[in-house]
Formats: sequence, C-alpha cells, structure tokens
Amino acid sequence: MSYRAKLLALFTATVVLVTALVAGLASTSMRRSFERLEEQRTAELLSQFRREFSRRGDEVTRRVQAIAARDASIRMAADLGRSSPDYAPYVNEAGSLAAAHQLDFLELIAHDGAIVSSAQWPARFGYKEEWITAPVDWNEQSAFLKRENLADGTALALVAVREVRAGDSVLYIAGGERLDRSFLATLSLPSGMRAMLYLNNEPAFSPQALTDASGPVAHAEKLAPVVQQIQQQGEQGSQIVWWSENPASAEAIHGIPLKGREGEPLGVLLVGSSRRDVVEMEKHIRVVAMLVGAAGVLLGLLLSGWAATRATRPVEQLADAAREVAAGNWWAQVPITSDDEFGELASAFNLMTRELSDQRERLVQAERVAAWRELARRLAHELKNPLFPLQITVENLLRAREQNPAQFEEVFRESASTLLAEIANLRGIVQRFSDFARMPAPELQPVRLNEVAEHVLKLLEPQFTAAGRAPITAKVELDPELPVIQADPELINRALQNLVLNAIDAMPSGGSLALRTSHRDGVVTLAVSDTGTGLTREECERLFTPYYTTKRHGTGLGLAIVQSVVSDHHGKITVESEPGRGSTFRIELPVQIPQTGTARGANV
Amino acid sequence: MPSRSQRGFLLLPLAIFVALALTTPAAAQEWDAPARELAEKIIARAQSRTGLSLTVKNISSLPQSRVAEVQRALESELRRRGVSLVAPEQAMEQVRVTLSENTSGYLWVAEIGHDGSWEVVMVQMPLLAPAERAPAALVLRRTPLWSQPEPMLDVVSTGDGGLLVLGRDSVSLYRVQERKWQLAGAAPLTHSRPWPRDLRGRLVIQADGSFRAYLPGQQCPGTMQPQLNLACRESDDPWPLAPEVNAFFSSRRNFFTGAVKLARSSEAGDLGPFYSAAMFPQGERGFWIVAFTSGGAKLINAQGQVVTAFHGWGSDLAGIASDCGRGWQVLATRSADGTLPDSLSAYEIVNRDAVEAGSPLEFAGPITAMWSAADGRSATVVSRNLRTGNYEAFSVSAVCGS
Amino acid sequence: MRRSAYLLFAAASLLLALCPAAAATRPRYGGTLRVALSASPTSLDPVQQSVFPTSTQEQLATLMFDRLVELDQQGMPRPNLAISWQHDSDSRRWLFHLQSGVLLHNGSPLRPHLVVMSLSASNPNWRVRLQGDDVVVESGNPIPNLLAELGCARNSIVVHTEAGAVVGTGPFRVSAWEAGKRLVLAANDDYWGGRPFLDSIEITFARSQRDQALDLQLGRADVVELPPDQVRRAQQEGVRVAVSAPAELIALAFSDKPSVKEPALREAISLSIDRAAIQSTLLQKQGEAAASLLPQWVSGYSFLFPVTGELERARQLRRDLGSTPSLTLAYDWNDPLARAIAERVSVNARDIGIAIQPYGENLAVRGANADLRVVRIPLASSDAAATLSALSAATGRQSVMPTASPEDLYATDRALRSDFRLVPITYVPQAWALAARVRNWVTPRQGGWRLADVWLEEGDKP
Repeated sequence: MSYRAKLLALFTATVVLVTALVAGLASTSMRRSFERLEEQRTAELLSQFRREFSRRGDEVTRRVQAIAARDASIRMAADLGRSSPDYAPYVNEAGSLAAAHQLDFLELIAHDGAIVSSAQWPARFGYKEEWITAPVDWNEQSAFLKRENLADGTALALVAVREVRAGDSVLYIAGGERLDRSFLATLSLPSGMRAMLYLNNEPAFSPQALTDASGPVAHAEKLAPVVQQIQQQGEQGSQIVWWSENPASAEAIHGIPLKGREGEPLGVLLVGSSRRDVVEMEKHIRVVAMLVGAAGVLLGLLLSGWAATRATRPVEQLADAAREVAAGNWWAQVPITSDDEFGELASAFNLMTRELSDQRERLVQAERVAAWRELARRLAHELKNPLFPLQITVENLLRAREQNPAQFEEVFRESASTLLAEIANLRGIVQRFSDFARMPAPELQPVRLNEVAEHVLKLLEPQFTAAGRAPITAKVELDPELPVIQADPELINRALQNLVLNAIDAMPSGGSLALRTSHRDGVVTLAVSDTGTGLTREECERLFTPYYTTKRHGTGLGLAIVQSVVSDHHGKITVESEPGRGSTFRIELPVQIPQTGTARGANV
Repeated sequence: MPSRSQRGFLLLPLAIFVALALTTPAAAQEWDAPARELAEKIIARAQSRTGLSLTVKNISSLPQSRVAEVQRALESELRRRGVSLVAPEQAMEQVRVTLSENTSGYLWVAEIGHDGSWEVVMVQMPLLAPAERAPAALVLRRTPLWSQPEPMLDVVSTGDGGLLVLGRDSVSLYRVQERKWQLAGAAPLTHSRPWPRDLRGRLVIQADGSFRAYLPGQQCPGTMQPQLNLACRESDDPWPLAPEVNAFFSSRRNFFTGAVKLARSSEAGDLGPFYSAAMFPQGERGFWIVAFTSGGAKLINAQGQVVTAFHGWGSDLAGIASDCGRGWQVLATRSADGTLPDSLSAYEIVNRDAVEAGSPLEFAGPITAMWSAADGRSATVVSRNLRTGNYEAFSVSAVCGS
Repeated sequence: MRRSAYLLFAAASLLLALCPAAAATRPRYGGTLRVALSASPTSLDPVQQSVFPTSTQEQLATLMFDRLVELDQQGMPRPNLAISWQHDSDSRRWLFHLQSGVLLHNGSPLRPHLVVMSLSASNPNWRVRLQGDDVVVESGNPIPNLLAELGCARNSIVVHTEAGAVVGTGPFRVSAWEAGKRLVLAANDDYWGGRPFLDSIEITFARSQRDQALDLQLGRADVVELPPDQVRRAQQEGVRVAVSAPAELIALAFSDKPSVKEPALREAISLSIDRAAIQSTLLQKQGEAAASLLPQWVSGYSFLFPVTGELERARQLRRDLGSTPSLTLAYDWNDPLARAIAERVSVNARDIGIAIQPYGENLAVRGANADLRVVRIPLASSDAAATLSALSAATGRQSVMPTASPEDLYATDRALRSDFRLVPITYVPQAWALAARVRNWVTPRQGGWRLADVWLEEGDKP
C-alpha cells in the first residue's frame, strides 16, 4: 500500500473514528441525559403521587372530621353509649353520610368495634372491626392506606379515622376514598408516562389486579417480576419491559410499595415511562451519525486525499527521482518546494544524487578504468594465448626457413594453418568483445517466454548428458497462464542460454536444473535454478560485472550480457545462492514495458 | 235532697250494680283445667318425678299478677302427682313453661329437657271472655262527627243518617243531601235565665225517634220529623248519667249536684257534687268512677266507699265498653285548664288501680264535653281547636290491635 | 334513597298539619282513592297464582271478589257470602247457606253453581256440589279448618266468562286494567254489603319506593306502601302510618338444582343466618325474626325456635360437606329489603365458608337460574292450620290439613321445614303511609286492607 494510500486510510480512519466517537459520545450523552430526565420525571411523578396522596389524605381526614363534628354524630355517640344501645336506627346512616360527604367508604363503629353502619358493605352491620379498637389516638392519626373488604372483593382505600366522644362513650368514624384507576386518572402525567396500580397481596401474580387509568393492563404478566420483587423486598424497584419485538416498545417501569398503617404491604404503584423517544432518538442519532460519518468520511477522503497528496507529493517526487536514479538517471533532482522536512529531504536527495552522480562518475571512471584494466587484462590474457602460438609459429617459420628450407613449405603450410587458426581465434575474441560493445537495442515483439524456455532447453539438452560429464536432470515448471510479454526474442534467448550454460557449468558433478516461469502483478518471472557449487555473497555482488567470472575459462561476459538484456527490457535479475547448494537466477520482466527512455549501459 | 242517712241507705241498692270486690281477683279455678292437662303432659314426657325444676315465663298478654296464679296452679298440679320440684341448679330435668298466646287464645308451652334434648308439649286455652283478658294493645280511635265555629255541647247521630248538634243557642239537624251535609233544620234554645259559664248540655235520642236536650235548668224535648221542632221548658229533672241511672244537674252551675236516682224507681242516692261519672253495671261488677268537684277522680264501690283516688285526671269521664282488655275502659281527660290542648286516656281498673291502656289520644285543644254514647261503646267528645277556634266533635271508641 | 323517602313522608305529614280542620266529618261518599304499589301483577285471577302468591294479589282479590267467610282480627270466621254453615261431627261434610240477591259485576246473579265451580277449581281435593241452593263441601279427610281455608284469598268466588275474563261480586269492579301497570276499579253500586264510600280506586303498579314516597308527597297518591324498616322513622317524622301485625314471611326458597341438593348444605345455610340481627337492624325492630313458618301471634309456639345463628353447628355441617360450590341467591331487584336480607345472608354464609353471590332479578322475566332466592309469602290466613296448609301446597308437598291442635301444628311446622327447602328468616308487617284525606283506614292484623270502608275527606283534595 502506498504511503498516500496509507495516509489516506489513516486520515479516513481518523475521521471515521472521530466521527464514530463523537456520534457515540453524543448518543451516550443523549441517552444518559434522557435517562436522567426520565429518572427526574419518574421521581417527580412519584413525588407528585406522594403529594397527591397526602393531599387526598388531608381531604379525607377533613371530611371524616366534618362528619365527626356534627351534632348528630355526638348524639349518636351518646345514644350508642347506653347500656343496651339500639344500633338499628343508624344502620343506614353511613350510606347517606358517605354520599353527602363524597366518600367512597364510611363506617360508623361502636366502642367495641361492632359496625353500626357501613356504606360500602351495608350487610356487615354488627360485625367487628377489631383493628379500630387498638390503643391509638385516632384523632391524631393522619390518613393511611387500608385494604377494604367488600361484598364483591377488596379495594385499596385511603382511610382516616376520627373518634366522637360523648361522655365515656366513643363512636368511631372511619371514612375513606377508593384508590383505583380513577385516582390514577387524577395524576397529571407527562406524555409517554403512565401510572399503574397493583392491588393483590397473594404470592402468585394476578394480571387482573394490575390496572392503569384506562383499565386492566394488557400483557400484565410481563410486569410480574418487578411487582414480585417489590412485594418481597418492600422497597422500590425497576425494570425495563419490552412489550413487543419493536425496541421502541420498551418501557421503563419503576415501582414503589404501598403500605398500610403498620407497614403491611397492600399493593404496588408502578410508573411506566415509554422508552420510545430514547430509542427513536438513538436511532436518529445513529442515522445522523451515519450520515455525518459518511459525510465525514467523504470529506475525510477528500481532505485526506488532498492532504495525503500534498504530503506525499514530495515523497512521490522523491520516489520518482529515486526511480530515475534507479533507472540510471543519476542526475535526477527533486524540486524543493518547502522549507520543512520534505524540503530538507528533497535537498538532501538532490545532494545525494549529485554526490551519487559524482561518485558514479568517479565510480564509472574507476570502473571504466578498472574495466579497461580488466578488459586489458582479459584481452591481454585472451590475446596472449593465441599470440604465443602465433609467435611460436612465426619463430618456427623463421627457423624453418632458416634451418630447414626444404621443409619450409610443409612447415609453412602447417604454420600457416596454425597462424590462421590462431588468427581466427583472435578474430573471435575481438568479435566477442565487439559484440558485447555493440549489444543491439531490443526489438520488442510479443514473446511467449515459455516457448523461449522450451527452445533453449531443447537446444541445450544434449549438453545435459554430454559424454565425460555427470548427467544433469532438467525440470521444467512453466506457468501455463504466463502472459505474453513485449521483448526481443533473440536477446531473451541469448540471455537464457547464458544462464542455462552457467548452470551447467556450475554442476560439473551433475545435478538438477530447474526452469520455472511464473507471473504476478504484471511481472513475469523466469527462474533458473541449479544444484551446483553455489556462490558466495561476494561473488553474487560481482557476478554481473563484465569479465567477472568464476570459471577458469570464459570471457566473463555471459552474465553481463544477461544483465544488459534484462536491463534493456526494463527487468531485473537477481540471484540467490548458497555455496554447495546451488544458485537460482531470477529474471523479472514487465509484461508491459513502460514508454520511457531506457537507460542503457554505456557503450563500451 | 235526701239526707245523709238516706244517702247511705240509698247507696245500698246500688249494690245491684256492684261487681264482686275489685280487690278479689278472678278465682284460680279457671287455670285448673289447663294446668292439670299441662302437668299430665309434662309428667308423661319426664323421665322421673323427682329432681324436676320448673320455670315459668310469660310472653302473653296475661298480667304479671295472673302469671303467679298460673305458676302456683301448675306447681300444685305437679306436686299433686308426686313430682318434687327443686331449684334449677339441683335439677336432673328442667321444665320451662312459657305462657304464650296466639289467635286462638293462650298457649302454654312446656319444654322438658333432659340430656341436652328437649321435648315440647302444649296446652291451648280457649279465648277468655273479654273481661278476663288483660289490656291488649288498645288504641283509642277517634272518628270526627262534626265541626263548627260555634260551641257545641253534644252531638248525636239520629240513627237515620242525620246528625243532631246541640249548641248554646240552638239545636241543629244536618242531613246528607247531594253528598254533602246540609242543615236540615235548626231550632233555638229558649231560656229565661242566662246560661251558666261553662255551659254543659246533653242530647238524647229517644226510642220513638224524638230527642231531648238537657241543659242546666232547662229541658228541650224535640222532634225531627217532619222538621226539627223544639219545645224548651224550665226543668230540674235529672239527666241520664248511665243506663238506668239519672243524676241531677245544677241549674246554675256546670256540675251534677250529686243526687242520683234509678231511672225506673224512686230509689236515689248522693255521691256528692261531681262533674262526671262513669259507671259499669254489667256483669257482677259494679262501681263508679266519679270526678268530683272537689278535685280528682275517685273509685266508689257498691257500698259507697271511696276505694281509690286517681290523680292527674281531668273532670270529664266516660265509660265505654270494647272488645279489648277487660272489655270496659274509662276515658278520662287530662288535668289541665282550657288554654292547653287536652288528651284523652283510657284506663282499666285492675286491682283498684287504674292501668292506662293504650296511648293517650291528643286533641288540638281542651275537651269541652264528653258523654258516653247511648250504646255504651263509645263516647262523644267535643273539643275546641285552639288554633282554628272551631269546636270539633268526635266519637271515641277503643279498638284492639297494633 | 331511604333517608330522602323519610323526608318525603315527613313533608307529607306537614301538609297534613297545615290543612285546616274539615267542616264536615261524617263518612263522605265519592272520590277516587289513588294507590301506588311496587308489584306488577299480570293477572287479576286470585286462583292463577305463582308458587308463592303475593300480598298484592290477595289485596286486589279482596276488592273484586268475595269469599264465603271472612276472618276477623281474632281469626274467627264471620259470615260473608255464606250467611251460615253446618258440618258433621268429623268435619268431612260442610253445608253452606248462601247470601241471596248477590249480583256479579256484569249484573247477572251469583248462582250457587257458580260458587261450586269456583271452589272446585281452586280445590281439586274437595268434592263441591250443590244441594238445592246450598253448597256442600266434602272431603275424604276431615277439614276442621275449612272455614279458615274459605277465608283465604285463593278461595275467592271467581267466575270465568267465556271470553276468559274474571268476574266477581266484590265491592269494586274492574273499570280499566293494564296488566302490570294500572288498574281502575269502580264502586259496585249494587254491592250486597252496601256501596263503598269511594267512587273508584286507581291503582298504579310498578312504582318504586322512592316514586311512591314522591307520589304521596306530591299528592299523586293517597295510599303507598311503607317498607317495614321505614315504619319507625316515618312515625317519628309524623307520617300517618298504618301497620299490621307480622303478616308476610320472608324466606329463602331453595331450587331443585344439583348444587343445593344436599340437605346438610341447606341446613348449614339456615343455621348460619342471624335472624335476630336482621329483624332488629335491617327491619328496625319491625316484625319478628322467624325460625318457624308461622309468626308468634298466629302460632303461639314460634318462640321455641332460636332466631340467632348456630354458627358452630353450621360450621361443623360445612366441614362435613367438604367442598361446596359457589351459590347464587336471587332477589327482586325492586325490593330493597329483599336485597338487604340477601346480602346479609351472604355475609352470614361467608362466616361458615359458603360463598353465596346475591343478584337482583326482574320477577317478570325471572329465569330459573338461581340456586336459591329470597321470597315473600303473605300470611294466607290468621288461622295457623290454613296457613300451613297453604304453605305445604305452595312448596309442592301434598297439602296437609293439620288439626287445630297446637302440638299438631308444631309438628307440621317442623315437618315442613325439616328438609330446609324453605328457610324462614323474618315475618314483616304490612305498612302503609296514608294521605291526610284518607279516612277510616283499618289495617287487619294479618295485613291487607278494607278499602270498602275507606272514605276521602273532600277538603284535602290537592
């Protein structure tokens, strides 16, 4: 991945991360805010319930007090305080009193707890209400919750009790209001909130006992866990309930226990707060975040692309220059467009290339000198060999003419033939040097490298099993999908032959020769591997130097020619070797040769 | 006026009207038969004749004094049959007798209990004569007769649907015509002397359909057919006080002089001045309750002796017969003056005591006249309505029931 | 509602107090007596009754029909259509001499054979026949209480016309009849016992207690029913009240449903009822708590039966039964007293672990769904034997004719109650609230009315 792409990815990732982080933080913050708001609303609603409860209690107390303060009540108390009181005249009093004072429940109870009159259950006259005879100053008690038994069940009531005393006699007035869904309807609830009452103290949850302001709650069994928890622990509890598959159907349920005067559990008040808003808000936040994120990413891409481009342009320029340098343009310079690190880097690069150029010049000079020297040495060496026979021959001729003119003709003919052979040898040597100096430019055409490889192998196959040599096995692994490349088939052929010949030469004791072709990413690779003597590292470094050879014989131009051909084809040749294990020469050639000028090696 | 010695002598014949001494309650013989029957039934159910306890409870209208009689009779019958009665805490068997009552009369119910179970036997006593029945729930029923602004002294039904009204100045006859009471005739009362203050008078329908108005010093016989006709004359003839008994009325006052005489004989007596009297000649009992001018009402026996004095009674008395209680009651006004509303109470004389029967009948004003009706089963009562000023005449009788 | 009813009645009494005293005070002829009742009778035929005849049906019968005898306050038979009678020594054969000159409302004379037909229809067990102009009633069993039986409303002499109407000889005849709604009776000018004082009687049915009180206050009615629990207060408020002796039995009648087939269950419910509390509180001490089928004033022995609950025994019976079903108890929804009693019975039963759910039903469309119901049975007669006989017939038993012996009556009473199919709760009096203009109102001891003797004060007309 290019630096630009990395930068782009980094910037984009940063933008996305930041956007996601912001969106997440915003979402979390919103949710927490909403939950805090919901908690506040719930607490407010519970507080409102408590206030309303207190207000209702005061109102009930006031009404009961009004009943107790009537003269008729005092007369009733006096009347019922006689030794054999007659309750009958008052059996229907409670009903009319309750209606007149707007109470749902009212009982007039004698000193011994016997019900004189009951508005809510008239038939219970005479039965005892033991709880009211407890040693309590009822006139000091405020209203409290109580479970009222009715003919058709039970109900929760807010009850106040007052005593009416006439002499030693006491009459209890117990009145109250029903706490049911009509009470819930009086609570002013914010939108999305509702209040519910659960009025059942049995261990088993009863869905019918749970009502809200509009009646029985649907699917009430889902609230069973929180209700039972509150009932068992006697403390507040909460739960989130999902009423359907839709997450927006969630409702946060908070409940408080409703307790009687002595702390006995009577029911549970539940406050439900719909989480639809927060769910939709979260969804909205997610959508917005995604949109913002997408926009951010897009913007980020653009910005990061621009930034990356700007950031990497100097690097690209540098890279281009480096490539130019690699391609041979040692004088490549990078424009210095800033004073920052990139500018310094460009400056350094330019200095480097200048130095490299100079050094290259010097190296070239030196190499040229060395090459001249080497060439001279090699030439001297190469020439020396045929020159000595020439000299001997000429000396022989001279001697022969001098010493043996009769045999001079024969000697002349032998010597002339020897001279011609050695001269041809010299000519050959000179021709090779000349050929090397005049390596032709490649004539590009579509070439199937596999065919070239097969041709070379076939050509050189006899040498694998030549007499006087240990056999060499050839292994061919050619990629059948190898693309066609633009190359000079002759040059490629020559280069491949050189490599194969080198491999044969490297396996005097026989071995295995492998020829492989492959391609990847627009580059075809031709690998020639042997299992010969291998090369040291130093040898690998000098391997492609012209006239460098590890062989006792040879011009040392083979690999140089190979390298020259490879270079002319804009390819690359590498070697991997290990002494004693063999070597692998890889030629990498582009499928498409770029349309730039080719830096070639200097003509020698 | 007969002398005092003659009065005492003359009072003796009154013994024909005297019942057996009020102080002598009805003999226990009447309980003997039912007590005997009940005792036999009890013994037939009891497991033994020793160790029995007897308790008697009364929930009937029998007076408490009679309950003791019943209990004595029952105990006597049981002992006569060899039963030894012990206290309840020592008893092996308990006998609970309840004196109850139903429409057929008294019902004596005996529960014999042993070992936690009870057997029941009963004896029904037939309905007693009305005199024997204790005051049941008696109600004085008042039936309006007439009302007018002018004072009325007496009002009687003529027997043929008409109404005769005795006022201070006239006697009026009313009949129903066209479904309304219409004055059918009026005749003035002529008198030479002024009427006494607190004028009293009485109307009596004779057997032949004529009538006579009795006024202080005046008597006015009259006829109604063909039209109302009255002929008043001065007279000190006695007024009818009770069936077969007349009494002389003071010509200048508002009371009877005290002299009384039998209607069909010359026998007479003297009770002393009185305003009104109630006499009950039926049966074996006879006594007077007299509201004397000296104040109060007294019960006089056949011997002329004051047996009991009743306090708090007004001056107007009337005796009526009824189907309730003992069958006769005396109506008495309340002791009050003429500025206050009056009330009428019914009493029965039980063991010389006047026992109030039923609730008093309240009137809207003072009662100005009260006379027993001819049939003795009701009294005509005239009162003055203090609010309207009208004089209202009622027929008051005693009815039984709730 | 009841408190306001009291006030309405009190207002009516004030009206009375404000009226000036009348000038004329003898019985006045004329006028229309307006009566408001809560019942809704659908038939005027006293013989065509439901299982338990209502007091309204019997009261209506006294207006339009006569009986051979009438019972006075002491329960003694008095001549009516029969002027005299004889019977043999064992009371199996009775001979009645009939009043002559009695006319039916349609003007035709009441022939003795019509009397025979009427009595035969209402008493299939008797053999009723003519003997000259006299009527003979014979039975295989002695009928010592025949006179009391003949004094019952169901033995009114009723003549059925070919058109299906009923005709009587009573002091009033039908002038207009809308079943269940309204009945107008006109005075029978030719009534053998003397034309009634009233010209007519207008009876409005199906009036609630509250409406009746309003009618009285507003002068739209002269006679209205007064619930027994309101008698005491009405009297205290000065309302003109007429009250009979305890004359109507309020009882629980159990159905034949399997849920209540167990006698022990019925007995347990009976024992759980606190009758004394019902009588003292719900009825404001009116009437009497009933543990027997007859009131104390009729039987004389009713005190023998405890009226307070026997909770322990009831609980034991309940325990022995094991599980018991939840029962339904029906009451007339127009009858607040029946409702209050039903609710109290339910509360009492709850004490012993039996669940009873009371509910109101429209008697006119009553279904047969309730396990038990509150019924009101008017006293058939002030004669104990006749009443027990009528009750036994009404409860589906073979009609018994107990002797007049109190022990026999006591045994019959116990026998009729032994299966606890009919559980007495209380006897209530019949009470009326009267307008000021109503005169000569007499309430017989056993309830009912004697409207033939009533007259109206002209000056009190609204």
